[in-house]
Amino acid sequence: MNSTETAWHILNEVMDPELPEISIVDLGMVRSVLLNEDLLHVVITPTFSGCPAKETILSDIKSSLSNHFSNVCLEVSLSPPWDVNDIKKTAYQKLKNIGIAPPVSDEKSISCPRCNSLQVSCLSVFGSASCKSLYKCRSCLEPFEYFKSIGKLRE
Amino acid sequence: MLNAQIAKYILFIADNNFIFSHRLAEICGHGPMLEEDIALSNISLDLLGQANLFYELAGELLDKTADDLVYYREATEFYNFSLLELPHKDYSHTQLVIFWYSIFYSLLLEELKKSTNNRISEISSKAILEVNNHIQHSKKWVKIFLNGTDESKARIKSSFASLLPYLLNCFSQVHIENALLDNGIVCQPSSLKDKFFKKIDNAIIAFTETDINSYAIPINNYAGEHTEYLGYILAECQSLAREFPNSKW
Repeated sequence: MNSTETAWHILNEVMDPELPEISIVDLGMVRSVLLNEDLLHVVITPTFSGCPAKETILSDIKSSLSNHFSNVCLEVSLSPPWDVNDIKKTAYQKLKNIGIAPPVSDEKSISCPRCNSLQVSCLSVFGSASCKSLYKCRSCLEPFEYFKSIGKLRE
Repeated sequence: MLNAQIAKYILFIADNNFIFSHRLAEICGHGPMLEEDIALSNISLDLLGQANLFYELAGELLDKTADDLVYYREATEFYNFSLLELPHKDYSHTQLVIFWYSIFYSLLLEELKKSTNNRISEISSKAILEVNNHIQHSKKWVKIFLNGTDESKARIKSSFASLLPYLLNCFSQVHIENALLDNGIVCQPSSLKDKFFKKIDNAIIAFTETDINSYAIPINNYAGEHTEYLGYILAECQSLAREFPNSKW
């Protein structure tokens, strides 16, 4: 029996093409999932305006859901705008595992995802992808990425 | 009638972003170092994404697609500021334009967040989160030039002097119809002048001998007037679409 739980489970398997192991649900891109009779209504919010992965993600969502639901309506909503607070806290360890320091509320507490040192320097607020800033650890000397601050993380 | 006026204003915002995004993309592969190549490409991409959102909105009002608006309008139908058409001279010039435009754009977006037009308001609320990073990056560079060597100081001062007439032009044109202003839909750029210069450090204004009441270059971009540079930009970016109309990747 297909339900919203099934839909959420499927959406949990749709990965961000640029962040291995991180799903669109982890990123907080899925605003709502409603099932009305046989119409599945999913509301998605884009992360970055210029994200080159946006089209790919939308078509991945559509095709994954269409395998289980005959009637899928995918709505893209800009309001409220996506910001770092939408990233699930449960995804923070997953980000660290792939070498990306998760968002923090105070920039002084950014730590190296490899050695946890706080002796870090920002090389550039712009990194290899729309969602990443480039940092360097002065302790283990490895570069790493920080999830770019869009909006301010609430405590 | 009101819709046509709103659409024109939205095109003005979209055109600023699109044309500047194009200019910034030209740096890709030619930046002073790899991190700057990446940074400017990212800024260009952010602006392109935001331009797309605004073009789609304008398209709904004009019954056209974003592609129609970008590839099939002539130069006299674009409304972007001439400041953003200018070709790169040196890196102080490039970073100064990013610095000025991002501050102006963020002040504009702050006002447009309160627009009575829901769609303008929601796109603006999203865009401003990204533009804050553009300000952060370019401010860092302007300060590096100002506090650097004799050469960097000379270059940034020279960039200020040559670009100031174009910046002041941004605040002296774009006369919006009263209907749009009275209905709280849009924001008059000239109303942002004081706030804009308050955001620029007084020390910078003094050091560069900026006179905020000096000569503003009299080009009426909002009436479709532009420098000749726009012609070359459009010839380049529209050529493929026009040669193969309706093609898809």
